[in-house]
Amino acid sequence: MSGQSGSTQPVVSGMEVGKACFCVAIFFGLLLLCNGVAMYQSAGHLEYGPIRDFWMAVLRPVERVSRVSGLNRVRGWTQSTVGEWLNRPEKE
Amino acid sequence: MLFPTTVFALFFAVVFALHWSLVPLPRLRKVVLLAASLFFYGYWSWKFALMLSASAVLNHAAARWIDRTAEPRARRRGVTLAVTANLLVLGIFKYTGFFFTKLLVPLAVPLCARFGTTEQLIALQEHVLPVIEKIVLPVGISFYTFQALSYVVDVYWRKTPVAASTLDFANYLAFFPQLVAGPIVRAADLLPQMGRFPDYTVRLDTGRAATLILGGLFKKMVIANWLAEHLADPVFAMPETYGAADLILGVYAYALQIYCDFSAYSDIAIGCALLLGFAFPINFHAPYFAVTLQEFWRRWHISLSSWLRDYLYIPLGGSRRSAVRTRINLLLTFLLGGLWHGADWTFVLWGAFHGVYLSLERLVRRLFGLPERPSENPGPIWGLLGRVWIFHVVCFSWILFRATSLSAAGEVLRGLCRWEVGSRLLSGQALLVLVVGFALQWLDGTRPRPVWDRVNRWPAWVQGSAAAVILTLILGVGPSGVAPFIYFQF
Repeated sequence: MSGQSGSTQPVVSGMEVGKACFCVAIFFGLLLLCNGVAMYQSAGHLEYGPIRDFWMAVLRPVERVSRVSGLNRVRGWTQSTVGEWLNRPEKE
Repeated sequence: MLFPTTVFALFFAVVFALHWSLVPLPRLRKVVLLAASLFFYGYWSWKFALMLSASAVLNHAAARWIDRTAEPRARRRGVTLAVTANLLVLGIFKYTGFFFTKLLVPLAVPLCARFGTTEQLIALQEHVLPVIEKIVLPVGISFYTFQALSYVVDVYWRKTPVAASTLDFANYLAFFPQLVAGPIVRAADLLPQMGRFPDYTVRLDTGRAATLILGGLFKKMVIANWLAEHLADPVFAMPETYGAADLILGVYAYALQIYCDFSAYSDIAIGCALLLGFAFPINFHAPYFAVTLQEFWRRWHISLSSWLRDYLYIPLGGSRRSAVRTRINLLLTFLLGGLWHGADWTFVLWGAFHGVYLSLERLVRRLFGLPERPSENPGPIWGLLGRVWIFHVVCFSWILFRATSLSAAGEVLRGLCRWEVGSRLLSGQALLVLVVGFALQWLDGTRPRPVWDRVNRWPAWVQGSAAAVILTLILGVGPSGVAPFIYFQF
């Protein structure tokens, strides 16, 4: 048997830490806006209790902004086209 | 806490923000990272987090003692004690049930019947089984135990210096991206990084990190989950109800599912670590493109196969002794490698299959004078034939790995001879997902470096926006629900 431990690759190009933080902030912000409606709906499926109440309360404003901005349509369109075609149950 | 969940996204956002905002306070930064890792692990159970902390403290204490001791016999005793203690803990949590129910009892039944003590055996089972059932296997214990072992042994061999503090070692052992399913990062690779955290002078390879995280999420959430739900799980749940064509499809699906599932975890772990400024070695390198089984093991779960090579195969003598001894070493290494994956005879048999096949491969190579690394220039025909053959050899072994018992594996193997006209599972979607799952191997290793470099040149807001939109598309395409990663159980 033989193998290799694999080596860590030196970074030849990259982003400064400050810019990377901005990049990650943009990523999470836009991700919330694109998925706010789906996340709110998903929280609605949680078991009744304080955890569900917490997530519903936190995600309600996100859901509203997501809906008003229209960014929720990216996920909705993907789900209703490719997602539904791919995940439809197979005929038995 | 699973990677593809809202909870993990929230957790990572907080850890990322804290990690980079605390650069002027290096000590506090280390404490915060450790607290985050323990929180991540304790999210399953706070008892697991306590156990991990104890492992970190005790292993570091053992390593320090070994490092400070000059007398060779005392050092040997120290390392033996540390290794035994680690293996004992792993054994109690992982193998007690297997040892009692699948080894001891089946051996004892005929003996007790012969000596008329069957009733005592039943009484013993009634007492012991409830105790065994209460043992909960801590998630990822096999991974962090192997990391701790490699550290203690490397310190003993003087291959790596002892960690500067318990805090550094605890951060190395508990670092959350690789804690529960690897890669098994060696102390020599990660410990120096834990000693001196990255500061504002580093440049983060966001292009690579984003590609790895998004690629990993696509592999897991779309490909692996789809293959499991539509092909592999139904086939392995009731193999007797499917014909040979569907069973073959199910086995192919499992081969790609386990690759997409496990390499996805490694990719996301490497990507998350990169965003925090830490570098891990790669863990997968297009394993199904291998021309020999030996090469497959150089490409599959690289951190485990190299661990087994360095801490088991080579100390056993490796290939330095006779041909027979080499074969025994290979077999032993893979038997234990199989047992590492799970406490069941199916895993032992899976390991034995790989060990025996590798021995035969060595024998054939020696008899025909074939090169040590035929994949380097096999020619187009031999290369293709070799890849197809090895893919099927590995697929065959996955039947043993996936089956819930030996009889279930036998049922799948019998079904492969049951030819029926047509297939119930074949569809356009199935073919597409299988082809995409196989093709994703092109993203392994450093092949996509030009893509990473190009993404790195994009402005920060473009990178962030593109990543958010791509992840939204992945979430829209994937099946609903989050299945746990296969390797969590190991």
